[in-house]
Amino acid sequence: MSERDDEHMGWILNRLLFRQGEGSARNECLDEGSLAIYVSGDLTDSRRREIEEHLVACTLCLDEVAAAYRATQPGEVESVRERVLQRAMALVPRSRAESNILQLVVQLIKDSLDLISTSGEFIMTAVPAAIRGKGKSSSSGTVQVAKQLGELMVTVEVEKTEGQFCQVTVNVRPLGRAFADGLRISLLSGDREQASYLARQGSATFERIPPGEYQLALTDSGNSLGAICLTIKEDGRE
Amino acid sequence: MCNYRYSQLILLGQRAHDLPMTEAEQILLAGCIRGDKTAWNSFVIQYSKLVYYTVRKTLTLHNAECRDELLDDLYQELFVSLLQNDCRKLAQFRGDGGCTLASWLSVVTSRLTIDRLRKEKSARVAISETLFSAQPTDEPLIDPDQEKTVITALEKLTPRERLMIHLHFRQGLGADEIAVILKTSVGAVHTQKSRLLAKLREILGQIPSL
Repeated sequence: MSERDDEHMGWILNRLLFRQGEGSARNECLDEGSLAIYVSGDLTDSRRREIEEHLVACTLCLDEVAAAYRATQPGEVESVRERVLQRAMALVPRSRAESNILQLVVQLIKDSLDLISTSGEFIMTAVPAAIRGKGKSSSSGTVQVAKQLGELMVTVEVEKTEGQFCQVTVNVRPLGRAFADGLRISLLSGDREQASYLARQGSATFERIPPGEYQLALTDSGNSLGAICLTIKEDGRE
Repeated sequence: MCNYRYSQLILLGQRAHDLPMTEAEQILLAGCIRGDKTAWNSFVIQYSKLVYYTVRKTLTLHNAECRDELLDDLYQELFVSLLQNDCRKLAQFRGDGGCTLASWLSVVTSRLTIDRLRKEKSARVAISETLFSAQPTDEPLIDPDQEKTVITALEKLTPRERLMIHLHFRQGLGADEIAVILKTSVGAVHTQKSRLLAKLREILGQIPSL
């Protein structure tokens, strides 16, 4: 075959491949994350083969891979008009923090516990039938708040136990679907994880918590469901 | 009150030491998801050119006209889609497997562009018309039987060989670019391409019109 025949063969292939792509359906496409990893990440050989087998059959995904590859090459320059840029910047992201975080500040005062502030709803508690922990406790030694975080109803109970320590109990009730892999409740102080429990019954108790700033992260299969920001202030009068 | 930055990382679903994405990406995304206007502005400025370029490239690949209005519209639609439902789309980016935010954003942008083209009937017509008008009209077309022969020949290739054909003939990528995507050497692409073309020549040589 001549060079002209080669060009003609290329033209036929180009046209056939485009025609095949026109009828592609979107329903079996890979998620964007998988395609992005194929372009710029590290994959096992078997996963790479799986993706390539899909790309051959799905020109939609293949086009996206090719576009992403081209767009992320160095030296590609594009100018965006100021007016267009300003229009995108004018969009205002809605804060997820407010809806997904329960904030709670309490202060130790002698044998009781005062609620300083919370983004949740304060729950009046009855006098406990039995005193938990080694220390003395009373109705005023417990603060209980609740808040809906996304599809969860979260209740946090902070109870003063011995000395300057508190006991923190978190109860989580799903309002929608059940947890996929079990709820995990982790207590963090700064960047350190102090304790973490797989709360199969939706409840976890953290004991002997001294004054400080904490976060209680709620996760399911690694996905964040929300967080509780808890501050326990020392008794300033001691 | 809290270590606020860290709490936002938690909202992304991972702890700091688990995150493979860069520190700058973490902070930027966390800020956007938190609703921080400064972070959002930085995000828009940083990725605008990438988004614009991806829209343009995708439109070009599909032989759609790159009108400024369409480019601007898709560009804006992309940023709107990232923020919808409390930044659900933006929060989907996890940086798993060493994947960069830029490549993820390019894939999302390209998908949005393709879906828009597919939805708009007028655009589809335009693609089709432009596609065929762009091809040489004086060349003879192969008949359906001959087309079947070529398709059958393609189907006999391995997925990786077919992918190479797609990338070269459909996407118009060079051997060096294909080598990067397929994680192989340029020499291997050249060798394989020559072998594949020889194989196709042999099959196509049996078609009388060639």
